[in-house]
Amino acid sequence: MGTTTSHFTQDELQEYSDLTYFTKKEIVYVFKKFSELDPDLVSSDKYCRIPKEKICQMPEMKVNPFNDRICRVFSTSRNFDGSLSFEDFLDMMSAFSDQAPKSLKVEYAFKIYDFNEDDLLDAEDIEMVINRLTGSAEPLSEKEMDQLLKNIMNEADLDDDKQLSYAEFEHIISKSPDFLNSFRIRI
Amino acid sequence: MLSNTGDMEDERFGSNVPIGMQLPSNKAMHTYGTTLTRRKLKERQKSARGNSTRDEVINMAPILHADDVALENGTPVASARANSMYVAATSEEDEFLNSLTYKDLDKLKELQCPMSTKREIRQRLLEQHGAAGKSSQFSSNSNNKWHRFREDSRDVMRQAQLWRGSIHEIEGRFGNGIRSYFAFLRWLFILNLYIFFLIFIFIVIPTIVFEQLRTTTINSTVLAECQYNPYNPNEIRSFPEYIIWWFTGQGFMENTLLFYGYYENVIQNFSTNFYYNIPLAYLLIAFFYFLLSLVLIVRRAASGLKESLVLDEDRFYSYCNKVFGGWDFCITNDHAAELKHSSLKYELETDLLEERALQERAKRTRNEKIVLYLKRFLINVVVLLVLAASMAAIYFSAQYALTNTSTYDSNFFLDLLVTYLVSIVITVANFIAPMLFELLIVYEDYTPAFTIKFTLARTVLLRLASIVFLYVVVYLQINCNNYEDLRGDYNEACEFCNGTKCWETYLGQEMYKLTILDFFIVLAVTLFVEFPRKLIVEHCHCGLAKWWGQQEFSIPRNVLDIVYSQTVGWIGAFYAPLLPVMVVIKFFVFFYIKKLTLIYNCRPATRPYRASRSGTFFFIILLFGFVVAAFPVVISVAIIKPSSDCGPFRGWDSMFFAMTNAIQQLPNWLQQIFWFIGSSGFAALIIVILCLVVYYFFALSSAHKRMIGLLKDQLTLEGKDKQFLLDRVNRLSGQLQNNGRDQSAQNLRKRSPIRGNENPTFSRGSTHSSIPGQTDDDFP
Repeated sequence: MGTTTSHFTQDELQEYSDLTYFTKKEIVYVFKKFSELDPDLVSSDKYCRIPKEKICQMPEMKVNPFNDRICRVFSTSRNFDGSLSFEDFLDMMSAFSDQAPKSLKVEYAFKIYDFNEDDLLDAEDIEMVINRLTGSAEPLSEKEMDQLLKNIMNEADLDDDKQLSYAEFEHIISKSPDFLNSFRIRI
Repeated sequence: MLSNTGDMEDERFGSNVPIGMQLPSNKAMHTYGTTLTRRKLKERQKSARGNSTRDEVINMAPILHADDVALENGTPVASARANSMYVAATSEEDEFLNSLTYKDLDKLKELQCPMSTKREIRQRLLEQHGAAGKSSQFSSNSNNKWHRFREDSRDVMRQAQLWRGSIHEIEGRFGNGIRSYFAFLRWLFILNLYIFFLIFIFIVIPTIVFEQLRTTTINSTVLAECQYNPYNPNEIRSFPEYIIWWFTGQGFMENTLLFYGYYENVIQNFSTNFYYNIPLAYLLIAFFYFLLSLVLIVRRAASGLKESLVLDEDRFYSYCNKVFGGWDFCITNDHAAELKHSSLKYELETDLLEERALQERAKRTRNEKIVLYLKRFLINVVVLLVLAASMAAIYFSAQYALTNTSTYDSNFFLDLLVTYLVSIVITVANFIAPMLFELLIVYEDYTPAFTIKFTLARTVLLRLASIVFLYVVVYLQINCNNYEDLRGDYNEACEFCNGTKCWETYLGQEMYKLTILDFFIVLAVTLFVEFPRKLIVEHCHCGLAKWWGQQEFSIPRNVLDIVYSQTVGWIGAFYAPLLPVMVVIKFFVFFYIKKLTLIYNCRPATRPYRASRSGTFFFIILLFGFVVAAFPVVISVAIIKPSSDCGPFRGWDSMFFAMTNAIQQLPNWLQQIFWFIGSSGFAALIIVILCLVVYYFFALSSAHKRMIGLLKDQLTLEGKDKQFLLDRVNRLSGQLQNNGRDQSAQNLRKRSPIRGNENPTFSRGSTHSSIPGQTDDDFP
């Protein structure tokens, strides 16, 4: 750890710990995790961007069906390639940490599930979510999918416009007891 | 998929942005950089009202606009997107950012925007603060130090947390549900550690110390016949007997610190004003650890209960829960991920199936119903019979064991069996009956969710009832109901000395034996059943092995196991004060055994137990166990006469006498207060107040419920309003466009077939049409 600590000054660490849900030690640890993804690149430039493909090799991300979406949502890259700098990475881990409040998680979850990025979850987005959840092996039959989509819209779509706005999404998540438990990555 | 988004966005945010997209309700709140949401904005404003006099308010808006410009230099997609979002959000942003002060530094982490933006805001806040006031520097500095210290200590605490790595690993491999079981096990382990330290410090150590201080022995004042002589160290015993004693807690074990009987009724005087009252300490510590357990359980259960009550009220949210909260982001293992996929699919499919089955169920004919109800009734009778049979078995085995306690001259293995008879019967009943229940419930044709709950309820009933029943048997014994049957030389003078002269120690021994037996059963099942089963299933490809399959790690059953152990431990802690240390060791070993069997022998259950639900469920079951443990102890403290020649309460009419005795030593006014608290008038008062409080909350909750209903209706209505207005707007704009741009509108429709699906708002609702001659085809 001694070597990694020297990557940041105390002020930088303080700043990061002010802006995330991590303590300084945890930030150093997150950096270690980050640099493990591509040791050569990171050791030459700690502000480098690690491409999406490499991020998705991380054990927590590898099996995650939404890994490309997560990269994209947290990436600040100008050309939208989903690559993450250390700060993006830290943002991501912070949002997924145990300490992050539900409100923050809900916002990111909404973005992650919003595949076509129109700030609305429509039937297509939800279908995509379900397909990714159930895995690639054999998707649900069309009839089942229709029934499921209908049920979800019945539950969540309060204003009956066949799409979920953020307010509606926040509402259902407030009723979803599993969300807080599942929407996190432990460092 | 992602390659498509560019095109789609291009259309969406190009020159023809649909009006629906621009509606405030669609775009508000959730925008780049502003997601401190309206709710938080309000909170901010509320608190700002109090602070604004002292804290300077900083103009923060330019930053985000600078960012805006930076983004605009990106791809055209991004700029269009950014623009369309920012228009509506700016005023809110300004308002929010202007209200930020130095004190909000902590809240920056809640901002949903990239680190660079957050950093800039932070920098500004710091600068403004530095320029504004040096006077508040000191307090903020010390505040900061305190903050840092707290963070550091939190860091250390988290690092030092027991089994952190193991639980993390389990979570990664098996997901959240199973993790919560292990977290529960750890919680119980720590609870027992607390209990142990309490007892050890306040009861065991003083007893040892006072024994060293004392020079004279206390002579028993009880009739010789009733005297309690647990063990004569001069008698020479064979080696196997020592072994037996270790396991049964008899013989030389009986007269040790382990059991109630050893503790003495002494009040050690150090000076005139300072003394240590062991009986009182014994009682108070028991009270205190029960209270501690209760508070800790209730605290945990209540937080979960709130969630599950909310859930219960709106059962319709189950699908959303499964879809949006379904994936466990903690999973790191390929195999686990695969399992999660299939289990999610299975769950969704079964839910849909259930829904359809439910619709069919409603169509059941009367005859079918009658047959079903008859079946259920019969099965319930069978279940009750099983319960009764196991209770009877416990009763008779306890009777038999009590009457045959002192037959040490026969075969030593037989002796061990006799003394362990009750424990064995209870454990076997607990082992076999649940399997029977699981077999039977299949024929009752309940919904899957109810099946799990109902089986559990029956098993809990059985487990806890067996402990209660053991209690009842002992109670009957000490009340000498069957006294004459048990011993011929009945003597009026010592009505409480019978086969169990020191019934408290006897109970302690039973709990001791149950703890040991339970421990070995788990060990044996793991080593000799689960492990071979795994080997057989893996290496033998015959049909039977296939059908048997690999062991499932059933969370409910495992939880029940440890709750049962804990219940025994609670009762035991009173009658065998050192039992908690055994429970601590037991849970410690359990953790590793369960982890081993989970990793090597088991596969996760196909129908996963949800972490959220199970968390609450664990603590509710534990609460049941607590009541079962506390109730008999309270009764024995308050009502039953303690043994006359053993334990800290010897010679008294009730254990509670220690309390009243101590109160009488107090000054008069304090005594009065205590008597008042103990009086029935006070109890009535408390009950009335509690009733009022409960009623108040009940009224409050029903009011909230109605409010929720109203708001929901309102939301729906407004949604309809919105649709109606949108229709009108679309029609009107369509009309305008039709005047000059018929051709281009048709082109547009060809280009964007997707949007038509996504935004049905724009293609339906012709019923609202009030403009004649207008049809759906004319709308872009």
